[in-house]
Amino acid sequence: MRDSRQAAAGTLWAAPAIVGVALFFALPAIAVVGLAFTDWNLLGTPSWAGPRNLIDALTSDSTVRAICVTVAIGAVSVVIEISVGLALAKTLVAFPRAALAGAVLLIPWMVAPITVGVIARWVLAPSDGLIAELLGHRVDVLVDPLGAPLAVAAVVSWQATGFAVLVYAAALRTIPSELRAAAALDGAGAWNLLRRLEWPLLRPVTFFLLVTATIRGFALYDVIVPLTGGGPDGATRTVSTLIVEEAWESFEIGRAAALACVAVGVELIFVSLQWGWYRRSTR
Amino acid sequence: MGLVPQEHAVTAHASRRIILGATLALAIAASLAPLLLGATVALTSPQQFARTGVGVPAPWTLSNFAALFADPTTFVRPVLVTLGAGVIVAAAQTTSSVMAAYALTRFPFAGRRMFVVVLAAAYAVPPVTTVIPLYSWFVGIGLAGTFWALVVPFVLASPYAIFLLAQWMRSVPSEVVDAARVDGGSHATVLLRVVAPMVRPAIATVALVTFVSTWNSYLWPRLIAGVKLPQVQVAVASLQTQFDSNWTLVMAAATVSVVPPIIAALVLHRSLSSAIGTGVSP
Repeated sequence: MRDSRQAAAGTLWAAPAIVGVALFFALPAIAVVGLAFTDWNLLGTPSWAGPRNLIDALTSDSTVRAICVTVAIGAVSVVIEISVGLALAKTLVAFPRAALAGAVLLIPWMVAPITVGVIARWVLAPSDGLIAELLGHRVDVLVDPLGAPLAVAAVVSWQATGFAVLVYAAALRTIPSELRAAAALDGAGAWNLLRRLEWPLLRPVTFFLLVTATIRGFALYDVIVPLTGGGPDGATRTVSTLIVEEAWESFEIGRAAALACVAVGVELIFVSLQWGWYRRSTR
Repeated sequence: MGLVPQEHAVTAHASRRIILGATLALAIAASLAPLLLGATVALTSPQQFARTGVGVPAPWTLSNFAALFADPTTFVRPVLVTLGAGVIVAAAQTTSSVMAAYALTRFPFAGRRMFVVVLAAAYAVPPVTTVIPLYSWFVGIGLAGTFWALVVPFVLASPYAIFLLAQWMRSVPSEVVDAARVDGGSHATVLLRVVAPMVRPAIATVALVTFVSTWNSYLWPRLIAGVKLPQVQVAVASLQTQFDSNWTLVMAAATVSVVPPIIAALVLHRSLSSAIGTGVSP
């Protein structure tokens, strides 16, 4: 009796959030899967198309390319985020009274990606950007098929590193000092301390950062808009950018929805690989 | 110490501190430089910027901000619209998230696991995915281009806010809650008088982060209200495309846009870092 009353009360307290997540996430998520099997241009009614859009999305060059671009930008930025983030976190915890430093490092993470993209565009603009002006000649990074995605990855890691510093520093502070002292007594230097004690203990944090970076990577769109617009010639057209183009520039809703399903599937594969790594390494 | 004389050890320690300090200073400079340079350009007159590029403004001028604010539809209205949307979304989303987090930590209700799984999925799925049908529905019911379209999808739930609050509420000892319940307090009283005051920093953190994420949002406001009722980031992006190369004006807008996030980072750093500290400690 008491249990069922408790259950009812729980549902009641969570009701607004349950309604919200149902209406604005679960229903649209189901609808997207349905739309993937239709042809629709946003006007009129969707017509049944069968699995054609999904097959197209899985096999077309533009999808494969967008996934490669997304994964490459994500991989470069997550390596920078984790290595620089950990190094700076170790530096930061060496100064226990420099709380303001940690706060300042968090600023890039808080700033809007659109604004960051606009500022980065000014820094890297080919003819009238900051770097072009300092060097006295054109800078072609943003029109270079390799330079542009690297520039995007650099901007993404500039934004993300402060957050990695925050979580690594918080985790480093929870490692008992006796463990460090014991390792030092055993003759472990700074490098061995990191490799044999801290890195294993920080593994849950690293896993968390990998997963958030993956989620962020597949959602990467805002920074691209002002910085490269997906160019040059698709070199920075991430999965999310391609979906927006299919839906709101070509009005191919079925194709966009199919692509969205494929993107979520690929994202899930990456998250499960990371989960596998985490499980294996903590066993 | 072994054979190493004491002074050498001290010098080694001091030089290590200097290297660490220099690294930290460099990181701080790298974090702030683009924003500060942007602000400098915003404070330079367009004439001087055209002549000499980035440099110390001579004289410092607010003329770019004056130009930005001259026509209220360019930037003032987007700022006001976004402030309004941000306050409404932050208040409503925080309230519903506090209630949901209380339910998650205090009641074993039916479908609890399912709810958590769906929340995690909502966090992981790229927003552009669900935006496709949401967009057509909002257009269908005639809400496109209205203020309510900007806030409605965000007022009820945020996975991130619920998880962070639940994390914090778990640290409130259940004896405290049970004692308040035995004393005859209803759940509403217990939540408002006992639990909420104990997790006040978490509630403030969630409210402020929610406000900033509304301030920063682009994709949904761009699609559903476009240039008819632009939010701040939509205005910033369209200033850049409209006035390409008019960097002094564009940087004035960018500089206004970074103010709330900077304040939030400075205010929230301590509470976020303690929240994550409790989350990651063994």
